[in-house]
Amino acid sequence: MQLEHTQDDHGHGHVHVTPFWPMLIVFVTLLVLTVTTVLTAKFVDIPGHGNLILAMFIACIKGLLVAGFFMHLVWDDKMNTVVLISTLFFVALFIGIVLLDMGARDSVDRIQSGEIVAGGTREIVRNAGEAGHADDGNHDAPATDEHTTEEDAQADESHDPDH
Amino acid sequence: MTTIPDNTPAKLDPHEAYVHGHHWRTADDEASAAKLGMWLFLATEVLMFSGFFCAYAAFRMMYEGNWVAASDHYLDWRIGGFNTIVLLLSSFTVVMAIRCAQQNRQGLLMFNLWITQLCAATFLILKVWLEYLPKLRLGEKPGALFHYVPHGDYIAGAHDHIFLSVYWIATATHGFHVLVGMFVFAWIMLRARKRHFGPNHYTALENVGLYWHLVDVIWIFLFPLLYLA
Repeated sequence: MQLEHTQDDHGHGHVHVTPFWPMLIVFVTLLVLTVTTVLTAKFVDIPGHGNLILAMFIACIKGLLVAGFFMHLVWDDKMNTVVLISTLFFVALFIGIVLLDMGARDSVDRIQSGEIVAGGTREIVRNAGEAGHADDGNHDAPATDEHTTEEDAQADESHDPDH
Repeated sequence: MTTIPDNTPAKLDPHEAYVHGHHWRTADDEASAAKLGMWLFLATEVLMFSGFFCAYAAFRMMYEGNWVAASDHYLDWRIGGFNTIVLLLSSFTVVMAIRCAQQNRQGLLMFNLWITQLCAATFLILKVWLEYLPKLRLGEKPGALFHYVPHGDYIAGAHDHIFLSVYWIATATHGFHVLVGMFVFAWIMLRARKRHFGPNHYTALENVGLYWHLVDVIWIFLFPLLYLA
C-alpha cells in the first residue's frame, strides 16, 4: 500500500493531503472485516470462547485501521497516539481488574460468590454461593437460574427472624 | 467616542484568509494543539464507554448462557450489520470531506458532508423504528422496566433484563452521540457553505471528523458484542 507521505511534517502551511486510494482500500478492508465478523459468528462454531475472541480480534483490527488511517494517527503528531494508548491502558486496567475479581471470588472465598439478586442481602449471596453456580455456560439453556431465586427467597425468610 | 482599532487576528473575518491566533507561533501549532485537545476529549469518551463494556464483560461472565440466548433472541444482526456498514461509509465520507478541504474542492466537500448526514440519519432511523420502538412495545426494556410479552417459542431467561440494560444504555448513549454528531456536522456544513474550510484551515472539520470516527469505532465493538454474542 503506497501512501502519499510528505516528509516535511513541520513545514508551515504544508499539509499532508489525505490520500484517496489508501483510504478507499482501508474502507473496503473494513467492509470485508465486517462481513467476516458476521459470517464467522453465524456460521462457524469455534469451541470455548473462540467466536468471541475472534470477533474481538477482528474488531481490534478494524479499530486500529480507523484510528491509524481515518483518524490520521499514522501521520500525526505522536502525542495523539500517546493519549490514545494511555487511555486504552486504563481501559484495560479497569476491565481487567474487574474481571480478575469476578473470576477469582470463588477461589478466595466461596461465601462471596453467587448470584446478584435485586434487593439482595448477604444471606442470599451466601446461600447462592453454597448452592454453586447456577449458570454453567451452556449456550442452549438460557433459563437455568430460576431455582436459585426461589432458594434465595426461602433463605431470606429463614434468615430473618427479627421481622 | 473613539473606537480603538481591533487588530487581533482572531476577530478577523475567517471567510477568505484565516489567520491563526496571535498566541501561537504557527498555524500548525494551533491546529495540532486543537487536535490534541480533541484527542483528550476522546479519551474521556472512551473511558465513559468503557464502563458499559466493563458491565458487559462482568455480566456476560456471570450469565454466559442466558446472555448469548438473549442476544440471539432480542437483537437482529441484520439491522446491526447494516448500520455498521452505514457508519463505516459515513466515516469514509468524512475522510473524503477533509481531503476535499485540503484540495479546496468546495462542492465535493459539501457533497461528502451530505452523505455523512444521510448515513447518520439512516443509522438513527433504523435504530429507532426497527429496534427501539418494537422493543418498547414488547416490553423488552432495561432492568426493572423489563416486562416481557411472550411471543414465538422463546422462553425469557432469568437475566434477560440485565442483557437488555446493557444493550439499552450502551446503544442509547452511542445513538445520542450519533445525534450530537448530526448537529455538529450541521454546524460544519453551515461553515463549509460560507467557505470556512480550505487548504490553509480546516481544524474544526478535522476535529469533528475525529469525534465521528470515534463514534464509529465504538460501534465497531458494540456490534459484535451485542448482536453476535
